Amino acid sequence: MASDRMNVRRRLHHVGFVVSSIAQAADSYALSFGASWDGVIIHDPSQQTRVAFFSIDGADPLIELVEPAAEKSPVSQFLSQKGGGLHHLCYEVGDLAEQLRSIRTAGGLVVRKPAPAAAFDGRRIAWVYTRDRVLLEYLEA
Amino acid sequence: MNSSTWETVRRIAGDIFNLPAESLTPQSSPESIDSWDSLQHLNLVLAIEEQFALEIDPEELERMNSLDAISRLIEGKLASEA
Repeated sequence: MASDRMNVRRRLHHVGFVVSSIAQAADSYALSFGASWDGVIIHDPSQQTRVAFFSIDGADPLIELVEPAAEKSPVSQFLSQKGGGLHHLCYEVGDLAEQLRSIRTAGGLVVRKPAPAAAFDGRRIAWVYTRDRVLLEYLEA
Repeated sequence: MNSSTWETVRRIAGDIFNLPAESLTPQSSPESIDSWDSLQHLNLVLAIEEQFALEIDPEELERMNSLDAISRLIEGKLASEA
């Protein structure tokens, strides 16, 4: 419910890993994390990615696998140059604008302004790179 | 292009990309520097923000596609703040 969402201040929603193929990596990730997957792969044209979420004992955070959906996908270079792997942390926040103001004050760089994301039923996400060199995704609650 | 801005950008880029500053030219870009990947691009922008006390907007990130473009963007922002 919207009122419940607004009460969410900040929680770790998922940990994102970049892979070349969700289908090929799914079994291995599920085994490594003791996680389960419902078999759903979501295509997000605006992000040029496909993603899948894995649950560990039904609790937060989720594990997200991300694969490029286009040659120029934002994760393509990470995949080709780093070989994929741990990519970002995503926090669900109650006030996205306030969170971005706060991280900007802390010296973080807003990489992508808030925009609706297909993976979260149109809820807005924003991307930030912190001064500690960590890529963060913020998901509006 | 202001030589002071250019020399500072070149020094920062050399540090980030682990290259001799002298080897970098205004035309240096992600296409010509192997280590200029998406994450190193963000590291470069963070270092530039810190050095020049500027804030770079998300829309400006993609326009920073060469050292020349970066230097000119910095000069434009500094001029608009003056």
